[in-house]
Amino acid sequence: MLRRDFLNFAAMTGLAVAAPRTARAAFQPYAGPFFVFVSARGGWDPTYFCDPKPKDPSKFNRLYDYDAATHKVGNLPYANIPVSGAALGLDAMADPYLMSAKDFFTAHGDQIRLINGINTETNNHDRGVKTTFSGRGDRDYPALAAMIAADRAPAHPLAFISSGGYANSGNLLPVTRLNSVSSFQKIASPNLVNVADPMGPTYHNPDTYQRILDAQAARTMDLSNGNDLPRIKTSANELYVARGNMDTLASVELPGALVDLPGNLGDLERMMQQTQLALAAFKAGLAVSANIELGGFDTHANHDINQVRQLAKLFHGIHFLLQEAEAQGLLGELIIFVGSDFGRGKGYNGPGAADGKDHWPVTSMMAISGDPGVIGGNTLIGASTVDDQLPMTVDPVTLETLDDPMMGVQIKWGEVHKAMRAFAGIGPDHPYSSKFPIIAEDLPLFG
Amino acid sequence: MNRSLRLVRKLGLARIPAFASVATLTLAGCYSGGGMNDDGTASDTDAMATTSGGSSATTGADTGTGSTGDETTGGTTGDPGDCYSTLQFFADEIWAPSFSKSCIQCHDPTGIAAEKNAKFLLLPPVYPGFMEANLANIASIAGYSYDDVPLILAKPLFLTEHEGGKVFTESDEIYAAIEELLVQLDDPIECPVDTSGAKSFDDVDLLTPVETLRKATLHLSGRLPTDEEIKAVEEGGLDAVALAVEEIMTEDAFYSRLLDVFNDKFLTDKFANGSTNNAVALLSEADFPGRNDFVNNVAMLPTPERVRINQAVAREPLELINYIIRNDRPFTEIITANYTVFNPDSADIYNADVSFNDPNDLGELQEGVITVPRGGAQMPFPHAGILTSPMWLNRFPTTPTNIMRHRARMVLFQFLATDVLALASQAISPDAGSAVFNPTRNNPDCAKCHKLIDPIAGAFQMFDKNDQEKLLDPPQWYPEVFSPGYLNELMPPDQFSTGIQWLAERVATDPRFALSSTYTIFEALTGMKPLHYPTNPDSEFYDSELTAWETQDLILRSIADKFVADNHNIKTVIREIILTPYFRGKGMLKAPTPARAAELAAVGIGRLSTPELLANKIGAVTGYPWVRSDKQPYLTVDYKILYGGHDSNEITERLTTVNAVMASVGARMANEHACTISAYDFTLPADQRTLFPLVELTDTPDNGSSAEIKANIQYLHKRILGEDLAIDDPELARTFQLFYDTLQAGLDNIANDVETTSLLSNCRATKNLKTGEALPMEQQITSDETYVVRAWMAVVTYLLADYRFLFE
Repeated sequence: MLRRDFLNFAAMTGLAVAAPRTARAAFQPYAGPFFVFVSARGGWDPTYFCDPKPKDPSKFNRLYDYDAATHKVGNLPYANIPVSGAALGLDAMADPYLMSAKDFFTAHGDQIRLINGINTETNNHDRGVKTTFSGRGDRDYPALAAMIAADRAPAHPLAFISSGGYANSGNLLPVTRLNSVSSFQKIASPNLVNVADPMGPTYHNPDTYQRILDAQAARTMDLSNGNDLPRIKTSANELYVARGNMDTLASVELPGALVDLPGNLGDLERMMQQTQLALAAFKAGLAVSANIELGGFDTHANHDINQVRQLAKLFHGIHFLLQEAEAQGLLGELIIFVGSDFGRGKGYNGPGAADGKDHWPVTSMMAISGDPGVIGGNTLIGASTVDDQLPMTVDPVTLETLDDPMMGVQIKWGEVHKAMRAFAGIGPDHPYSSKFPIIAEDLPLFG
Repeated sequence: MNRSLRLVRKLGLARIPAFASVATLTLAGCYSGGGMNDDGTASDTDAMATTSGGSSATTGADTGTGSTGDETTGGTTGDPGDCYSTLQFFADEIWAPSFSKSCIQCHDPTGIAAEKNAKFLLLPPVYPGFMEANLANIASIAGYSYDDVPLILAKPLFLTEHEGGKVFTESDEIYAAIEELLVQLDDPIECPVDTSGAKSFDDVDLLTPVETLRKATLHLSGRLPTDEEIKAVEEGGLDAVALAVEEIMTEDAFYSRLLDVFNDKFLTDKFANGSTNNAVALLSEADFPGRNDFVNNVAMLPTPERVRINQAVAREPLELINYIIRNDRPFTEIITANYTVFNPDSADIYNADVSFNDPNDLGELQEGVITVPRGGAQMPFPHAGILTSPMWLNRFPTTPTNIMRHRARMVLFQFLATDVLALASQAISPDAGSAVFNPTRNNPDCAKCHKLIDPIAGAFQMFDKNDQEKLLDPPQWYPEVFSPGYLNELMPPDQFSTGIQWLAERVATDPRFALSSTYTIFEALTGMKPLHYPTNPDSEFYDSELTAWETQDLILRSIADKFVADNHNIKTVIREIILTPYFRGKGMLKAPTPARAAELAAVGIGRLSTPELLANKIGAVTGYPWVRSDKQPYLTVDYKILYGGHDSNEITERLTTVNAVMASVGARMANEHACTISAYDFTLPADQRTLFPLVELTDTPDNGSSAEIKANIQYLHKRILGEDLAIDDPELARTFQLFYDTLQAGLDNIANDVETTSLLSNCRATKNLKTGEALPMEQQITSDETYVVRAWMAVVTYLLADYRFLFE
C-alpha cells in the first residue's frame, strides 16, 4: 500500500496518524502558547480559598473570619487562612513551600480569571475529573490538553505530557510521561555513551548510527504498508511517527537536578519536578501542553488541616510554575487552567475538629496567563449562594451574577469548556468540535 | 444488507440448545420488587414480573431440546445451515434499534420504572453480560399478558397502564421484532462459539502453531521455546501448543509474570517498590507487634534486607493469588480463601503461626491465618482471600464518612467487571441532595447507586474506618445506610462479624466474576481492554464496532464458561485466550475494507511490550539481560515510567501507544546492549553463542564469507524477531546491506584515521557476562581491526530496536 493510500485508509478507520518528519527535514520548534492543566486531585474546597463564606460552624466555614469588603485582592475574594508548617502538620522547614490564598492572589491576581459557582453535576471522582478536564462526563472525550496539542503540533515528540490528571488522548496523539533527568538525558542522546560528556564517544560512529536509523525507518514503513492487519498497521505507523523527531529530544535542556524539598512535601516536590520537566520541554519547542497533578484534596476527615495544607502546596506549586516560566522566558506564552474533581461541602460531615467535608458538586476554576492581558486577569465570574453553596446564574452576555436562578445561565463545565476550546483555537467550526461536541450555552468566559 | 444476515455470515455460527448460561446472570438483583400476581398477570403497578434475583432458567439447554449446527434454525433469519441465535436476534433487531434508546430511559436499574418496582428491567452496557441478562429478563416475563396480548407488547402499545405512554404501534418494525422474539423464546436458539475464530476471522492470517508457541513462551515465561517443545508443536499443532502452555504455567518465571498481571489490577506493589518499610509501617503496633522492631529499629537490618522483608509483606495478596494458581485451586479462592500465605519473612511481621520446611527458603509459602489480640485472646482474621489482605485494605482505604464504599466500588470493579461509577450516567443536581434527609438512601438520584454499593460496603463493617486493617469487635454498621447484603439478598446479622466471607461467596458465584477474571487475563495477554459495547449509533463505523464487540463478547463469554466448567481454573483462560485471533493475528489474507478494518482494530499483534515483558525478552533472545551494575533491569527501574510503565501509586495505568520518549528508550537499549554483548558473544565457542553461531570474526564479504554472514543474519532474524525468512528474502538483503555498508565505511574510517581499531571500552569483551569474572587475556576482544565486531553491533542494534522486537 502506498503511504498516501495508507493515510487515507487510516483516516477512514480512525487510526492515529500524524505525518512524521521526512528524514532530515527542518524541524520547527513549537513556540507557544503553552498550556498547563493543573489538577487538584480529590476535590478541593473553594470555600477555603476563592469562594469564601461567612463564618458559621453550622454551615460551610468554621475556620476563618470573612469580610467580603476586606478579604479580596482586586476583584478576587479569598479565604483569609494563614498557613504555616507547624499548624498544618508539617514543620517550619516547610514554610517556604506553603502559600496562602491571600499571598497567591496578591502575587498573581492580575493574571487570574476566576470562575466560581460551577455546577460539576457530579460528586463522583472519576466523572468529576473527566468532566473538569474534557468538558463532558458522559463521554470518553480526550482531555482538552490533548486536543490542543493534537491541534497544534501532533508530531512533536513531547506534544502532550501527562504526569497525572486526566490523560485520555482520544487516540489523537501519544501521551508522554517524564520523571527522571538522568534517564531522560540518556535516552535523549541514545548513541552517546556518557551523557555528561556530550563530545565524548558514541556507541556507533554517527554515520553508522544514521545508517541504522534509516534502515529501521524503511523497514518499519514497509511493514506498515505491507501488512493489512489494522493493529499492526496502526502500531507500526505510531512507531514510525514516534521516531520521526526522536533526535530533537537532545535539545531539551533539563535542570541539573530536580527540586528536592525537605520533610513531608513529597507530593509538592513531585508537582514541582513535573513543572521543571514540562517547562524544559516547552522551552525546547517540543511540547504544547502538560498535565500536572497534586493530590490529597479528598478531605473527608481533618479538613481544616489537610485541605488547607494541600491548597497551600498547590498555590506554591503554581507560583513556582509561574516563576520558573518567567526565568526561562516563557511566561508570556504560558496559559494555566486549574481545576479539581468537584467541590466540597456543603457543610461539614461532623462537628469535631477531625471531621471533614464530603463531595459537593459546586466548584471553581482558575485560568491564569503569564501575560495578564491574554486571559484578562483580576476577573471574577460567577458565584455560589451564601446560604446554600449552590451555583448562581450569570447573564449570558455581561456575565453578571444574577439573583434569580430562573434567569440567565448556570455555568457548567460544558460552558467552561466551550469557551476554553474557543480560547485555545478549537472553535465551533473545528473538526474536533464536530467529533467531540459539547452541548452548552455560549458564554464569553474568556473574552 | 440486512444486519441480521450479515452477522450470520460473519459469525458463521451453528445452532445449539438455548442460552443456559444466561439464566444465572442476575439482572442487578438489588432492585427488589413485588407487583406480580400469582396467576402470572401483572399487578396494578407497572410491573412486568421477574423472579427474585432477576433472571430465571429458560428452556433449551435445560430441556435438551436444542438442535445441532446442521439443522435448520427455525424461526430465524439467515442462510440455511447458518446459526443465528436468539440472543443475536435480540441484540440486532431489538436492543440496538429500540430498547437501548427508548425503553432503557426508564427501565434501567436506576430509572423511573425500577423505582416503581417494574419487573421489566434493562441493564445498560456497563454491566458485563448485560445483553444476555436482558434477554433472560424478557424470557422471564414473556408468559405474562394483558387481554391476551403479551405484556411486553401491551405496555408500549399503551393497551394497559404504562407510564411511558405509547411507544410504538403494531405497524412498527420493533413490534414485529418483539413478536418474533417471543416466538423464539419458546425454543431459544444458541449457537456454539468458535473460540479459535476460524470462521469469524477467516480473513485473518494467524500465527502458526510454532509462532504461537514462541509468542506465548516469551510472554508467559520470558524464555524461548526449547527444541523439544518446538518439535512437539510441529507435530501436534495447536493442541500441542495448549499442552506446552500447560507446562509453561508450572515454571517459576510464569509466576513472576503473574505478579505483574495482578499488580496491574490490585496495585499493592505501591507498598513495595524498593521501600524499606512502607508496607510494614502500615500495620498497627498493637495488632502486629512483630512489626515494631522492624519499624522502630531501622538500623537493625541492612537496607537490602529491609527491602526484601518489606516486599514480602507487601506482596502477601499477590503471593496468595500465585499460590492458588500454582496449586490449581479454584480461582474463586482469591476472594474466598479462609487463609492467606506467608513466607519466612512475612510470617514474622504478620505474627503468623506457621512453620516452614526450610526457614531459609524465602520462596516457601505456607498457609496460615492472621490473628490479632482482642480481650486477652487471639482473634482470627475473617480471611476472604485478598479482600481481607491488610495490603489490599490499605491500598483501597476508607474513612468514617466513606464507610467502605470505596472498597465496595473496587469489589464491583475488580471482581465483577462493573464500573459502578458509570451507572451514574445522569447529571446530578446540587440542590437535590440537600433537600432530602439522608440522601444516599432517600434521594432517588443518590440511592440508585448507593442501593448497589452500600450493602456491599456493609460487608466490610468488621474493619475500622480509620485504621484500615484493624479488626473491630464487635463490627459496626449504620442504621441510616442500606443494610449489608449483596444484590437483593440481605446479610443475616449473625454473619456481620465475618460478613466479608459471606459477601465473597456470593461474588465468587456471580457470573460476572468469571467474566471479570477472563477480562483480566485477556488484557494481560493482549494489552487491550475488552471492547465496550458501542453506544454511538452515529459513528461512521458503528456496525463494525458492534460486530467487533459481539464477536469478542461471544468468545470471552465462552471462555468464561470453560473457566467455570474447569473448576474456575484460571490457566484454562490463559490457554484459551492464547489460541484466539486476538493473540494470534499476524496479518490479513486479503486487504480489508475500511469497515472490516474497523472490526479488526483490536485483533492480533501490535501490543507494545511492557517494560517488564521487554526486559524478559531481551534476556531470552540475546542470552544476557540489560541490567544495571546492581543487576536490576534498566527497564523496570530507570526507564520504567518513561517506557510507559506504572508505579502502582501516582501512575496506575500503562501507556499503550508508543511515543518519542519510549522509542528513544528502545534506541538506547539497542545501542547499549548490542555494545555489551556483541564482542562478548564471539569469545565463546560457536556452539555456545546466542548471536553468532554461524560466523567468525574473520568472516567478511571480501574473503568469500558472504554466505556465512547471510546465514547468521537469517539466524538473527529468527532468534531476535521470530521471523523465519528464506535466505533470499529482501529483509535479509536489507540487513546484509547494513552490515556491508557499515563494514566498508568503518574500514575506510580506520584507513583515514577517522576511527581507531580499538573497541570502545564499554563494548570490549573482557569479562564473563554471567559470572563477572575476567576473561583470560587470550580470550578477550578489545580491538576490531577488521571492523567486523562493529558491523555486527550495527546489525544487533538494528534488530533489537525493530518493531517486531518491541511489539508482540
